[in-house]
Amino acid sequence: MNCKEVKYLITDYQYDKMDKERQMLFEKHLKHCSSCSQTYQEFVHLINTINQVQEEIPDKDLELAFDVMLNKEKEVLGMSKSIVLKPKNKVFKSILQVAATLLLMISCYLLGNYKSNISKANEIVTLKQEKTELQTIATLSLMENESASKRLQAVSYAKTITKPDNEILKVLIAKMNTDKHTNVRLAAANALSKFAENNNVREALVRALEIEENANMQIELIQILVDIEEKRAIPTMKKLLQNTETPTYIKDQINSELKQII
Amino acid sequence: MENLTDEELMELVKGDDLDVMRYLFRRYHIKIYNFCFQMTRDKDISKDITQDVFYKVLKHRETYRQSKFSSWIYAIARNLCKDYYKILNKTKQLDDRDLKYRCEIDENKSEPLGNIKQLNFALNQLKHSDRELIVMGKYQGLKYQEIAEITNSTLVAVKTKMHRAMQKLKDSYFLNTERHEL
Repeated sequence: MNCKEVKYLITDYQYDKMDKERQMLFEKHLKHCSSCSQTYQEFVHLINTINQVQEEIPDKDLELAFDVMLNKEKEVLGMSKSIVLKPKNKVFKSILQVAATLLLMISCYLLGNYKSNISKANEIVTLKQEKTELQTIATLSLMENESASKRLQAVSYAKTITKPDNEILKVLIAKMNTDKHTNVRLAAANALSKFAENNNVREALVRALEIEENANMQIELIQILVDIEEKRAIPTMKKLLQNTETPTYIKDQINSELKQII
Repeated sequence: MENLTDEELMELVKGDDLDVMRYLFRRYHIKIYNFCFQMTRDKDISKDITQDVFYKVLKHRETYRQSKFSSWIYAIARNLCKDYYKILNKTKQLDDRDLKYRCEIDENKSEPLGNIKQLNFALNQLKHSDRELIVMGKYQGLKYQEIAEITNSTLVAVKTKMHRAMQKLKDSYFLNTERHEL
């Protein structure tokens, strides 16, 4: 055991903790080394002095001050506790939270539904518009077809259009007045009768009766004009009655129908 | 309550049972007061710091984390003493002579033993870090492992520092003491 080791052991003051073998070596070294021996003595003295230091007992007012501080803290805690929601309220709070969540979900659902309805309605409107446009185009193109049956078909298409645009009406009026085929003209007149709320159509029908020479068409037109109660057709009908060329069955027809309008 | 460990009591305090703090106060206030006294040599300041230590324990009870309670409270006391030293050094209210003078008055009243007077003087000469090490280890009898925990250090480091601090204390002590005493 050398001096350094011994000095370390001395300062550590762990003489009692050493095992017997080390104690022997330690003591042996001290016997032969005066420097270490003196250091050891000094340390023993120092430690003994430290051990003589008595524990200070604080004044009573330290404990009193502690009590005051503790009571204050308890008050603060009590106050903060009364602010904090109690466990009972926690249940209430969570119920509120759940309710709020549900409300949020429902309102989101409704909002989404409403929005999609609007867009769907918009879609439907555009689709309807497209459909009408397509019908119009199909009808218009069919109207010019060579085949009379196709033209008839076109006229019947035109009839199914709920709100035909002016172009269709114009074409229908033209067909009624000028088509080579009487059947097409009859069908066109018939189709026009459906759109009688349009003033242009009414005028066209009145004028058609004025210039019409075909007996079938005349009968059809008289029938339509009476049905739509078009009073402007009355002079034309009277003229037809006075005309000697008018066939008798047409005159009979006019006579019987005129009573209904007048 | 008396049978519970410090840590169990502190857990109760943490759960807002503040009255339990009284038991911890009874167990520790003298130790903490003496630690502060050996560090400051001023009874009033030691009382203030001790009061502050328990106030901090109470205030920061939420931050207590299952570690050894005594290490925790000593760490708080140590930090507060350090703060006190910082203020002391800044304001320089007391220079060395004043300190010595105060010590002498103190010791003349309550500690008539010449050796202890000399010991206190020697302790006063030490650096703050050496002083707290010796107070904790030799005056208060804390284990080195615990000192390592309090000072956030390692066992080996504490042993080495303690060795050096004790050498310094001894040198300072015997420098002013006649060798013939031995």
